[in-house]
Amino acid sequence: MLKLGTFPVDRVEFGPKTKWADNTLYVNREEIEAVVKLDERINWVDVDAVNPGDNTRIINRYDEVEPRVKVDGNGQAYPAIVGRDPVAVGVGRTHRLANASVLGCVDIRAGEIDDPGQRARSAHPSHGLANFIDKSGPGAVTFSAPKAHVAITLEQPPETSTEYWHTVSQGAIMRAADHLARVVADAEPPEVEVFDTTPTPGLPGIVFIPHMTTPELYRGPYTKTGTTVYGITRAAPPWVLEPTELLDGAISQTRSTMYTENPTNLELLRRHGKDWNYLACLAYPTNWGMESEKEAVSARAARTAKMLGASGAIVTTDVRGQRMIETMLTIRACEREGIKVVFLTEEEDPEDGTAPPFLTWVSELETIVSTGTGGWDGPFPAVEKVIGSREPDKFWFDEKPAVHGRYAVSHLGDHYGFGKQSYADYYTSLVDQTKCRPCRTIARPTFRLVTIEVQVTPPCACASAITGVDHCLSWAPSPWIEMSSGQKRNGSTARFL
Amino acid sequence: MAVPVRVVDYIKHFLGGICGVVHANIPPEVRPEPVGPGNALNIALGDDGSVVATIVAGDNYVVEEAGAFETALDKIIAEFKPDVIVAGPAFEAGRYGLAAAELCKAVQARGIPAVTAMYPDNPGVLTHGKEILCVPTGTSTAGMAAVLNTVAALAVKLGRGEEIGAASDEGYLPRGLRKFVMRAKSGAERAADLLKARLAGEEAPTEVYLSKYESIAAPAAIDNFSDKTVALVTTGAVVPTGNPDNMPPLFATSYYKYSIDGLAELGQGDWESVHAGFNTDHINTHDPNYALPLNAARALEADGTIKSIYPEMFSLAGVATAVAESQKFGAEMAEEISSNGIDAVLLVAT
Repeated sequence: MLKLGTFPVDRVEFGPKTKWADNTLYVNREEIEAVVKLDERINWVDVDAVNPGDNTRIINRYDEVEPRVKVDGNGQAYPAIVGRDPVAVGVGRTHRLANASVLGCVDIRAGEIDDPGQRARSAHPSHGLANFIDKSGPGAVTFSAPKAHVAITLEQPPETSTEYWHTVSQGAIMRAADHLARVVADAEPPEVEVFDTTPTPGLPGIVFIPHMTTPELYRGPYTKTGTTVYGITRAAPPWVLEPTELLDGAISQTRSTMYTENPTNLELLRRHGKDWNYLACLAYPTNWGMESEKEAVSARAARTAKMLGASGAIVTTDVRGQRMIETMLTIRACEREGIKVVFLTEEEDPEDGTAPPFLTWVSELETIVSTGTGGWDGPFPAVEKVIGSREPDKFWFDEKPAVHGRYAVSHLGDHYGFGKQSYADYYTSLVDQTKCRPCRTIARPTFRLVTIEVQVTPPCACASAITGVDHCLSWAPSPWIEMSSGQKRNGSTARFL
Repeated sequence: MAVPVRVVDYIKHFLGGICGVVHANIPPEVRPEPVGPGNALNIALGDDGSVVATIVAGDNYVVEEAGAFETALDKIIAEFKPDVIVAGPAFEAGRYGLAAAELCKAVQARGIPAVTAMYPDNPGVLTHGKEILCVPTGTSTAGMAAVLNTVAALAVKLGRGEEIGAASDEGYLPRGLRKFVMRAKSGAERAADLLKARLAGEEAPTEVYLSKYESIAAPAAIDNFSDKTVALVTTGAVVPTGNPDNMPPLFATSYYKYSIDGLAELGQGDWESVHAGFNTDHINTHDPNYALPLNAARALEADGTIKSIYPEMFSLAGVATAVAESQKFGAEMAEEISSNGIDAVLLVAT
């Protein structure tokens, strides 16, 4: 059982004393700079207060961390990364600054690219253009958009690799987050929510199976970068986690807030004891290279769920590429074990009906919830301020084009259903609009008035044969208009047969 | 009050009281009234529409005598002036479904909307699914009443030229045309709701419809390659070192050809992979043949197992490739390959 004490934050403001009061997080800027620069390797840092509604765009996000601190129970929030306590968490009492986050941004351009995938991707002109956070306007739709941030911008120096600089960056972000969380460690939270996952007899058991991408493929099994479970990044059979462990940051890095505030995890937790027993989160870090590996580990995920007593599962994936294969294999294996699956996912852009919604799928997949393609039309208007680089390129200040949702390019990255956006199948006319149905459209004496727009076309062959008809009221796309014979419309006279 | 929509209904010969497979080729007969299941359709239409005529035709006739049928169709349309055509429901009947689908397409080409209904695995859907408006049915005609209600509602909207809503609302089979919508609840809430429904054994309608894969028949296997020419094709983005033609690492816009004439292998340092989707270090620092096994192919050529390797290889980066582009590249490559005396392709798919 975990008690989560919430201190809501509407705004972050710089002030002489770091404190939380009246739903405002006051931050002493120099303290944050000092805490960051405890690591002597950091020569330069920029600290900003960014609030929802600001005319600001944020780039180079490295991680977003909500300040959380354990006040009772084993371990440390955000365990095991950058030297933190690796003890299992999720029990006791934790305090949080809600809706606030440390947004760590790292400009990596001067550093060495030590990842062949990154090297290849950065050769493409569109690389990285979908990754930004607008804080205001019609493009402020990401998970981060409504939050108040202490934004910390760092630079990766020349002659350093990402692997090396990761510890510096992530460490700085965590020190800042801890510093802020400490101000509410001893205070009485205005809101407390209790998460108790003791099973209730008679309810069906369910699990949540998030497939999470690991950079092991490109960086090897010992890399410290990317999404971690207790500081470990490599592909692994699913970690069996208590749902409350996510609330204490057991899954972290890259977008830590997406795990501490995971919408699927929270929804399942809040309905525990009513609709089901939420047994476990089976965190599945993956990018297995071989089909046999994918099959074996997906089978393991399903069998683990079965052993725990699950009869239902929500399955997700955080990348829409090759990992869709093991995601589908997990769904297949679960359904075959008698576990009913709902697949919550983004989908591929339909490309005018020529492209399927997923790169691959299995016949056992029955029930899908779609959060759309991840694309967004925007617009993303020009902004006054850009955060995330010492000298941001000018184009980041300009209006940005729509982001398409094709092939894993996703602006929203809504893998866990935080938003209401979705996609649905619709109808476009199959009727050849150039054919006016011979003499039939004007065969009736009266029509129902629906709109005043009417498509007026030259008469078809049969109508032309009738003297005096100079226009037909064409069928498509518009409905009937009310006219009587001889009535003038659009400068010509309607005639009726 | 709205004028009732004029519906012309197509039913197979059997349902028009003309029995027997032997009559499957009868030409269409038109009766100026609802017939058979058209009566139930007429009732479902209520005041909003009426079945003014029924086409009774043999399934085989519609499909096999297409030319004559279309002429007959023109006459029927001129005489009865339908606002919309309803074809079927065909349920599982394959020939009926195919005929219904072809009728819908013919009618649509003449500027008149049409709606049909059949089981999603019916050949009518598998062949023409993207070009028809079809209400999905089960396999049993026991579902007729419910199907006709959905069909009637669509027929009236089509007949009046009203906008047709989303597939999930109106009850027709999706055609893969999807667009942005905002729903009432978040994705997480909707997923939880659907999980609850599935656990309770209740209806849990999916938000994404998955159609069947297009099935591509494999060509006959080759037993003996000793007189065959083989071309090497890779989606591993293999290029001469330095990528002189700037092959993009993803989102391919074309494919590239490079000469391997006279080469015993892809030499390390001469070739590289620029693919963005997998770790290319081994290929680029140890062995480019890993992405295009030229050395192994040459060994087979040398011992006579294969007659020859085509002197050019085909290459592109197969990651985040648009479906339409992939189909285009495949067709172009196939055209080039088959017109150059190549008998088989070794495809390295990444």
